[in-house]
Amino acid sequence: MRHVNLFLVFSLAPFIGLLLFFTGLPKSLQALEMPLKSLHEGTGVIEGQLLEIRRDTGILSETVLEQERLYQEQSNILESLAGKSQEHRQLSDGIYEERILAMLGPPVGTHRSGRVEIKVFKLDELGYRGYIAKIKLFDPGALKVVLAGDKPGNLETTANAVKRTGAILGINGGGFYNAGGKSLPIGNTVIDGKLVGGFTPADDVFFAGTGKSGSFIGGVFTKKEDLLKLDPWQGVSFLPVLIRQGQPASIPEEWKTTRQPRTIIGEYANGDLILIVVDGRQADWSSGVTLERLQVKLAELGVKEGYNLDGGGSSTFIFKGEVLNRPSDGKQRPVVTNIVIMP
Amino acid sequence: MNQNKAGEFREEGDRKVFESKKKGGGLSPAHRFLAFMLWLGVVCGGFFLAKYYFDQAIQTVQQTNAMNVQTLEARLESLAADVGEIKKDLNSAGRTLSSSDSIQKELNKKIEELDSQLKELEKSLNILREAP
Repeated sequence: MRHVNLFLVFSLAPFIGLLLFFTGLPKSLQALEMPLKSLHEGTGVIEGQLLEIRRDTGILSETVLEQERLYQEQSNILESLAGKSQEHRQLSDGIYEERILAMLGPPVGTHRSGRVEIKVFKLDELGYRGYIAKIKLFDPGALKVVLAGDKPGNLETTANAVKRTGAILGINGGGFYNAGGKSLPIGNTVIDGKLVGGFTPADDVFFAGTGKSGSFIGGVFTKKEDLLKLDPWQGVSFLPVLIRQGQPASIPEEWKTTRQPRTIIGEYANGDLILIVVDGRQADWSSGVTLERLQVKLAELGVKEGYNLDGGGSSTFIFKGEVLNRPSDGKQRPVVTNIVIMP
Repeated sequence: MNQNKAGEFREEGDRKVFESKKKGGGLSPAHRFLAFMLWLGVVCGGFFLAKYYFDQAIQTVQQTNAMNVQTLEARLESLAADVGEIKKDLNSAGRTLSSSDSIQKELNKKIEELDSQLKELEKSLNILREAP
């Protein structure tokens, strides 16, 4: 029996060892567990930081949205102000136009296109009559200076120049003189930006016309550079200057008091052009006007710039193919340059 | 004589022990088989008990790990969602900023336009002053 017991004890010995091993196994197995504690802690920190970032981005988004709203509001206010400013400008322009038109009376003829707006008025004053054209140029190319036969030395009536170019309105242009059987323009003539026959310096002869942008150019130019820097596109010359910057200019004595037919080119303060032809030398119709009186009349009309073009028998006013004025020679005098307005 | 008797008794006892030893050490095959089966049973029992215990312990560790991983996954998902939200907010803020930038440019343009129109208005009012 003792031997059996011994046998059993020895037989069970390995199992007791195994049991002892398994008793200590949980601790060993615990080591197999993933060490996630630090990971959890790290995740917790990141979560906290992300929460803060999210809160900050939320504040940022709200601030930006608020900024955008303010910009939008300011933009709307500016738009409204710009609209009102434009309305007021239009109102101001409209009032100015009304005041000019009130001085000119009702128009006897009008023309409006995408290039130009023309209003023709009768001038009927004590002792003289004539016609006035108020021109709004939308296209600077609508005003042209036409050289007779398109080259220096020739003569041509205003009606012919108008017909030849297909213009809707025309007046005679700058002064001219005869030299060796050729008729040449006085002073400086510019056609399509080019000086005809070069630059002629002068102390009293003015140049009047338009620049490339359609703005009025006028003045006495003693240097070619002074004229060219204004970028002249079309223009003619004669004398004297009547109104400069809204103020009457001094007129030479010999021009002051004689009543003659006159042709005037000028500009209103709003940039509109004014062309005036006054008849003269016809006692039963119009005796003509002195330049002094014309200066006063131009000032009354609100003209800012006024220049006396070639007058006398040359003064002619053509509108829609018709000679509106009565040229003093009883017929149109051929001239060297004409100013025409394209329809 | 007595010594002879005593010697006889000792020999007889030794023989009995020898016989009994001969009887015990020489287990019958049936007893041997039974003993082996018992030993095998204990071994198998020990094996299955150990296997069960080992499996249980592993399973517990696996469960703990799985739970930890799940928790971690959930937290990572939450983090990813948070990052996504932040990205969305930043994108939105970026778009708004970009839009604000263009609005500001538009605003500057409108200020310039207004300035230009006010100058035009001033010019127009000056012209009006010169009206006949």
